[in-house]
Amino acid sequence: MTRFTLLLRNLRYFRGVNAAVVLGMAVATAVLTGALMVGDSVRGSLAELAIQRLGPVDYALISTRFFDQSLAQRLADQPGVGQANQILPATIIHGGAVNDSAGGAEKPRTADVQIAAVGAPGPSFIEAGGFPIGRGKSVLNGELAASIDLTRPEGTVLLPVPTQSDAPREAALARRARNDVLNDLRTDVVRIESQPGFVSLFNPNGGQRVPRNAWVNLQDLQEAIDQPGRVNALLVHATDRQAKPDAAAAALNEQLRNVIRLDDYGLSVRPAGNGEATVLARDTYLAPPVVEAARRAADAVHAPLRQVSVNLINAVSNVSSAGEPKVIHYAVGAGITSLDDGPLKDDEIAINQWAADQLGAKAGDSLRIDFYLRQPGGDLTDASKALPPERLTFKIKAVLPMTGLGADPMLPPNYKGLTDATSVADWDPPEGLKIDKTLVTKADEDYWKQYRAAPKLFVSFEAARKLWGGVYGDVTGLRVPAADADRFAQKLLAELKPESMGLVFRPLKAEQLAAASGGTDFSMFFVMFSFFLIVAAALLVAMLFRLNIEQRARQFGLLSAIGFAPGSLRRLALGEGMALALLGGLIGLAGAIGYTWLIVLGLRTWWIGAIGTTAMHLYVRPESLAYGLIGSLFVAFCAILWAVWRIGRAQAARLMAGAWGAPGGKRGEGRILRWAGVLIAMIGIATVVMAMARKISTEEGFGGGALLLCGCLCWLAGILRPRRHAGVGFVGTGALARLGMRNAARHTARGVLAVGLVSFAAFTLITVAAMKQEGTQDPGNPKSETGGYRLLLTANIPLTGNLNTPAGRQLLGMKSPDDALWQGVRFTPLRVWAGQDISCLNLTKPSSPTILGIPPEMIRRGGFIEGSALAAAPKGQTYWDALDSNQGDEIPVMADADTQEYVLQIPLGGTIPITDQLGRPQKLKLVATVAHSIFQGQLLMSDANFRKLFPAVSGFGMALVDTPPGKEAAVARRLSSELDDFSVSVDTTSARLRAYQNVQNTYLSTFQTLGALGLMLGTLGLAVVLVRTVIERKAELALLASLGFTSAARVRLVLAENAFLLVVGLAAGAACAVVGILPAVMTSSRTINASGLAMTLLAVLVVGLGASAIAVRLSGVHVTPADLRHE
Amino acid sequence: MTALSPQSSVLSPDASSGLVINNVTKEYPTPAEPLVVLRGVSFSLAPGDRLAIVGPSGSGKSTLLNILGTLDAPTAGTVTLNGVDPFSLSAKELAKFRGSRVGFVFQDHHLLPQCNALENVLIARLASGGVNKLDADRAAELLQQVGLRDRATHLPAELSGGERQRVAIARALMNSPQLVLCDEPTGNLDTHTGRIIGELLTRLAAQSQAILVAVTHSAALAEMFPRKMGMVDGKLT
Repeated sequence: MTRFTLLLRNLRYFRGVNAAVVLGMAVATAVLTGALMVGDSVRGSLAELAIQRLGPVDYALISTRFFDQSLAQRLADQPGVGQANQILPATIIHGGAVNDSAGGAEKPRTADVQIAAVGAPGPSFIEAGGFPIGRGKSVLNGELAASIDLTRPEGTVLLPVPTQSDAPREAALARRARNDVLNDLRTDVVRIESQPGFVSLFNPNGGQRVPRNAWVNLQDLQEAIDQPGRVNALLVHATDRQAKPDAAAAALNEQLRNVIRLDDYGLSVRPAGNGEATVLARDTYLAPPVVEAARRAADAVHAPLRQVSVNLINAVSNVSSAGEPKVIHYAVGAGITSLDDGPLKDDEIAINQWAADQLGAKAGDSLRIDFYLRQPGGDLTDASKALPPERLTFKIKAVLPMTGLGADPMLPPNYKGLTDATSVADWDPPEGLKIDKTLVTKADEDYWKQYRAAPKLFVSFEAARKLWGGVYGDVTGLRVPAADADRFAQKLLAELKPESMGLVFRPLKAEQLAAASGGTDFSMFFVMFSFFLIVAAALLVAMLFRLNIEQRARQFGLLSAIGFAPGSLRRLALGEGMALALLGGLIGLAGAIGYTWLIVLGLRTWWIGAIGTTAMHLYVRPESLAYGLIGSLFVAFCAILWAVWRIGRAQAARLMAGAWGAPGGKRGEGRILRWAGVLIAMIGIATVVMAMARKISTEEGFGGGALLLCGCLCWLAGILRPRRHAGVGFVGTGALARLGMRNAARHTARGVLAVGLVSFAAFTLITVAAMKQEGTQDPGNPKSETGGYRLLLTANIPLTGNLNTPAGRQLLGMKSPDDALWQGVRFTPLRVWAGQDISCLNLTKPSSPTILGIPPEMIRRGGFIEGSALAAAPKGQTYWDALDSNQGDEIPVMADADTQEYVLQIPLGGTIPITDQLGRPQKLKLVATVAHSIFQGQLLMSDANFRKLFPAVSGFGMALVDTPPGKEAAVARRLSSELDDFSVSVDTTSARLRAYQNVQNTYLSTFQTLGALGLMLGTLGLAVVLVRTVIERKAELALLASLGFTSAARVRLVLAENAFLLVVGLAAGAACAVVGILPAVMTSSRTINASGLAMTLLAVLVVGLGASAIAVRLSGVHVTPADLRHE
Repeated sequence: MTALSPQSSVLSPDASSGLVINNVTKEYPTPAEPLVVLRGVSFSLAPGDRLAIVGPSGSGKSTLLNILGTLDAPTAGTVTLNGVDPFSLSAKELAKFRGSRVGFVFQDHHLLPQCNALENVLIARLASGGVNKLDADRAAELLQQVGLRDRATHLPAELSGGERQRVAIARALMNSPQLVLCDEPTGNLDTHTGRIIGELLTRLAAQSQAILVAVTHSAALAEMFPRKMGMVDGKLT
């Protein structure tokens, strides 16, 4: 006989109650381990999705810049590169899709389509299916096909695509009209791919949602977007699987530097007049990194470098001439860092002899110029209307001869429709750019014939930069002596780093696999969601085990009497408990797999709103099983330790008598508990009051409610103590109920535990219900979640016209741009850097967030619901002004508060590293948040900073629409139908808000479901307490029977005790929750479904009482005379 | 009653041997005023002495027995067994003291239902460490002495009331205690069985030279003890 033998005997002998402990432990383990495994399953599924999504693509260079597709072959020809990699040129753009074969007036169409094409696919890509794609053909994925009602691979699909202009759309001479920026690619659908894989899922931005993919022929796409022979991506499949991703990507980038050419950057070095060569950009403007590299290159080869900035000057007038000033029209003007004889001052101008003759001007005269300026909204205006006259007035320093710079047609870059025209009369100016050809004289035409677009006037480069420069660049050409041109070009290529031009290989697959495991932590979510269930199971284990121990008080008394030390007794009981816990834990591990399977099924079906994909599968990681078991054993250890601790403290003599503590407990203990309860409750109420006064957050208000509940339970623990009752407590009606309530006070710990379980469950259910949000109560209120904007327009192809003006609407090709519908409608256009969605709709960890450029007028307007700010806004400013604050080298940004907390997971003042459009590393500093807003998917940045970081982003990808109430449906309809080619979608802001809230509400529903399970477990615990009580009091009940109490009366007596605990628990939990949520209800759009909640609580009450009644019946409230003999 | 009257109770000349109770008082706190259960009880017993304490219910007999057995501590006064004051010991030492020097026989036998008769006897050794072959032999010997050799493997549920009490007596003697305390040992038994149990108790205690103290309502049992004391309202008479 050993202590171990004794332990085994105990386990076996008390197998009934032990089985219940094992069951409770199994539930706790299943829930805790299951929660961890849900996280594993989400991570595993996302990783699997990433692998499916990228298929053969391991590395990728994806740029906003188009380059010659031969770069892929040049790279593959590098030693060692081609052997280890298959490199494909590809073009990836976003547009829309229309089912052109469908009948009816309204053909099914959709926005947000990724249109891609690859050139000469290798074996690994062909294996992915669908490649190569012939001319005029397309392969759609199932998602896209379904969205345009295409069920079979037949018919024609029209793909509106954005043409890729060589000139920035922001430039004054840019072509921005609908016909200039859009084209249609018509294809025959040859295949619809719905199976998970590269074709159906490919999305370089990651994310778990299925994209809408259209694959087309590369040449077709290049022609459609006006980029023949050029691509914007290189996709790489690595045949060497052993290479480390970062090192392999670095090696590819190194090789890229070896093979890249100036024309890959869209640059060319051409001979020009004046004994010089000129560097021109296909994009019209030379990007700042090119200019910086050119400066370094010129220094290195000791060549003088002249920067040139050209613009079309609408009018040049000689304001020094007597009488009517002489004017020339439509002259090309150039800013230049230096003329041949030195630089101009900022208020000086030089003109060629032809201009001097036409203007009757000489050195010393003053000339005034006028030209078009692009306004922030996109409209053109005359500079003379926007700038003071003195800024447009220059003094003639020199008149240049009609040689050299004075007659050099190579100074301007090519402007389509202008510089390539044979005469001024043939000019085809961009829409919106008014050229009054009646002003063009014969002399102008003669000049054009002889000198083409040679500039007629020159100002200093600095003056030109200030007048017509833009963030997209202000240099249209660079001049070096022709003799130095070759050396300069070589040095320029060496100095210009591909990454600074946005040409960089990234280990795409490794990044997306990392993002799959680093995003939303579902393990943590489900541990949190299941917290109450775990606690309920742990309390059940504690309660059951304690009942087990209490039942054996006499045994422990005996063991104590015969010499077992308190520690030995505790160890014996703890050993028993932990053996049961281990057994329950092992059973629970099996249950965890089933539980996880069920939750994953739930995520795929009932809760799909939270994750947005059905591609979720069960993943079982041994580590999580181990962690879950260890975690639940620890929880069980704490619970069992609590249960057995009193063994060592109880007196042997009382144990022998079958009792534990001293009768009535320690003196004064009840009073202390009652007062402590009152104190805690008061702190809770004070917290709620502060939250109502908005001194603290509404979330802290919830905490106040929880404190109040703790106080109530503490007070209850003080009240529910065996004590002497004065007088006769059970006289009159309800006597049985009162006697039952008094019975409930016989076991304080049991009673308080049971009440605690029920009350916390009720508290949780009500509080969670209050967190649910449904749209917004007042979308027209500027200080609501929608900021007062009723509609939200998103365009995959950025809008280049100003929606606020008839001219802008006309530019966008809208019918009736002056329609009365637009009266009172105000658009706030936002630029969009299309990165990754950073809302809760994206489960992966975003590394390149989507960013919105917030225009100054919106910053000044303020509005929305303020979340928090790094610094209080000065008087007269709003928290939005933080976007314009000076943060040193860091760029101030704002985010939605929920996005900050759950997705970005950085504090206020924290930074987000990104790479900007020019390949420069930037740090975005979070300076303020907006609460519960429609901006959950994006970071917000001032438009000024946005344009510095993303200068090539032209047009507006989003617009907030302020419409008069009642007009929103008509406005949305008109925008959707007339801007459909821009792949526009128009939602109400309430709908957008609901989409985000739906995710949160789904999470909350999950929490509620698991909380309800916890409540059921709590009710079960209550029934167990009841059964145990009945068993303990069998003799007492027998006595009551002998005194004439009927069976029904005895049932009522026992039920009264249980009903008391249940009602107190529910009432306390519900009341404290209502108090706790008051601040949230008063200060936001949160509403409570009071009737639904009341029904839930009522159902719990009914089920609880029903379960109790069954438990009482089963446990044998019907007693026998033998039971009486035991009294 | 061949009484050992309180007046005649004197401290043993040799306080280092035997059981010495000196002015023991026991009170229980109540919301109103302390409930005094023992009022200055004093007496002493030498090794081999056998004492029966009789008295009405609520007179404090069981409380006194619990204090003698160190299951409960006195509010005032001292108790020494062979010169050791158990209440000055730590909880661990006290448990060891109780296990090695005190044996209990209760009215309710308090056998572990999950263990057989032999194991119930051996439980006493388990408290002080492991059980070896010698212990098992001694337990079997004790069971033989109480007439249950052939019931050694039976569970308590398979034994009669008298047999269960005999197992409890064997358990009390397992560690060769210096003091054997019996609380109504025959209270649940019929007269015949009670007599047999009483005789067994006194005989085995005498054989082991242990001090035997029993509290009982049973005059028949008390008669088997050479010394008797009455207890009324917390005082020995």
